[in-house]
Amino acid sequence: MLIAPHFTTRRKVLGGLATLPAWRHAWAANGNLELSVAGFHGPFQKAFQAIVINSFERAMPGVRVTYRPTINSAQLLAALRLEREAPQIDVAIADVSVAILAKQEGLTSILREEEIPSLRDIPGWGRFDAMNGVAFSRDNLSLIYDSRVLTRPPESWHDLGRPDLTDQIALPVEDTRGVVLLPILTRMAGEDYRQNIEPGLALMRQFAPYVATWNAQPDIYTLTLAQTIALGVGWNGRGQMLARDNPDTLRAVVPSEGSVAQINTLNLTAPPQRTRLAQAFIEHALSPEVQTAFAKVAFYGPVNRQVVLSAETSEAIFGRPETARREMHLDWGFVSQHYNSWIRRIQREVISG
Amino acid sequence: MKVSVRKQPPWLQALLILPGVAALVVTFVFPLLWLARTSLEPTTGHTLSLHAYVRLFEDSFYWWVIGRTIVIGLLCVVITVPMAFPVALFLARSQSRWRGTLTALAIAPLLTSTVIRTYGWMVILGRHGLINTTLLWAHILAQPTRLDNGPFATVVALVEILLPYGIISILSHLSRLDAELEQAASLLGASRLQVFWRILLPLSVPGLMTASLLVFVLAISSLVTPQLMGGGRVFVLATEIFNQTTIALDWSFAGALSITLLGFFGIFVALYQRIIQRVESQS
Repeated sequence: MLIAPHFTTRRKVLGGLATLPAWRHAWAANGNLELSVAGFHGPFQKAFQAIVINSFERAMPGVRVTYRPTINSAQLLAALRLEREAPQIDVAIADVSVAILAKQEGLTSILREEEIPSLRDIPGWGRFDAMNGVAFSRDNLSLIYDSRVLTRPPESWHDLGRPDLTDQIALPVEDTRGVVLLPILTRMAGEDYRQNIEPGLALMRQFAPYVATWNAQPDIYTLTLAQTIALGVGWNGRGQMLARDNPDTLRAVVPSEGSVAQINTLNLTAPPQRTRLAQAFIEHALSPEVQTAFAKVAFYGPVNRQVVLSAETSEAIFGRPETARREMHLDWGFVSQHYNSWIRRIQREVISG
Repeated sequence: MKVSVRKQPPWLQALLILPGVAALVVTFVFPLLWLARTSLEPTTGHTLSLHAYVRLFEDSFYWWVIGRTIVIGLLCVVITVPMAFPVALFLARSQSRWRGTLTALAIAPLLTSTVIRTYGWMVILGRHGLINTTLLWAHILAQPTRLDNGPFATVVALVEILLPYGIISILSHLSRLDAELEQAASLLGASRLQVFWRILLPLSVPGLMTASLLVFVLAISSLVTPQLMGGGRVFVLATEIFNQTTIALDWSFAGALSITLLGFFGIFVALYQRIIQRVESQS
């Protein structure tokens, strides 16, 4: 069950908008404004609606936020491209790689601290030149496993190459999961992914004989619940949410070597007449209260430095403290340049090699 | 009684076909032109370029993908058409009052979504599926073997999915054949095998060719089944187009792959036409 936070008051949101007199004037005169937010469907949408949108609407009577779910980032990018001349989406939630591409194509607007003060609390890995947007949450790559088969939790990424789990391992690495796993494996081999990814590819090749599927369909979580596979890689947020609902079957764990997070970003795509309202929404989404609640409910890591998580939530998201310290922040500007070539190499040298 | 057919004036004929042509232009020609335009989009600048096609044809991996696509399509034809032929022949020659019901049953799988049917095969061929469970129970296997997540599973599921199309194509042709030709051959002393080889099979060639073309085209353009059954190991043009569109976000290259796939359709339709013309001229 998702619990909406009750801490975000109208006063706090309006306080954050003190620098937006023009927008406040328009809002007061109009009283009814609509904002369109587009992003991931499924559990993310459910959590985002309950935690972020509902509290924003409560704090801002007269403002209605519509969430437009997209099947994947490609669909979101297609919508942004098609609506370039007359944007219908005001805030786009996208993978970091799509946020970078969207900036290159001039589909997003820059965010400034004068309009969104919370940007000051976002670390460099969540705000960088390659994109106009800002990180909203981060989701670690983790090991998803069937606790009926693996009575002892897997501890290492090396468990993906366990002979006793032959044909019970899912390694869906033809997308961002592969692009994120490659630097982890490269670091495990003592190399830097910016210099040389060969060790990571070599390690992935060692896992290949034991892999049942490289393209877990419908998804790794369903396959695990259905006992089709016993171990695989997946996103921690959804894994932890499902583990909460299915404690005797599915578990998600961040291995001891640490992990890498995929960043979900907020991007300003609103036309001028709704820009101020969209900025207010982003400010609200980045506030420590909303970030804390979202982390607690959806197990997505917060991005605001002011957020302090409980030990239990922190362990679910980042692993044990010593594991959390090994979390690796990717240089997404660099990774996005190599995204397609890395996937091509995984396809050719690991899967069909 | 002699029936005279009055020829319609050309303008009326043109007017009558106009809605159909307009619908075709809007739903087929325009999207196709847009696709072709997308495939020529430049990486930098504004000048249209062939860079996506150059990349496609210079990269041996995509030749391998094209080869796999054609092999899977041909495998589906080789397995599906011989399976569909006896069923279609039985339905065409049956005098039973259940003939209509049996025909409906033969094509009934088409009423179910391809996705559902493919998931059905995932259940049957899976590690804990019907086949593995049976083989383990019969002590033929000591542990489950991998039947799903690969080319074998993809072809098995495609054959089952495409079988009704094969049956319909052959059935529609066989239904037009005069059964008295076979009776005449029998009366003249031909054995049942001779009737089949010398009369029925040669006359069935156009129907078999149509079924082959249909199955091939549907197999090489199939996305869902290779995606679900291939376990990421089956690289065909359709899955590559999907990956380029949704993961690599390279629409220009996806467009080039799509136009290439369309080109293969064209080549195989042209081949089909030539073979049909030759068969008809011989008969």
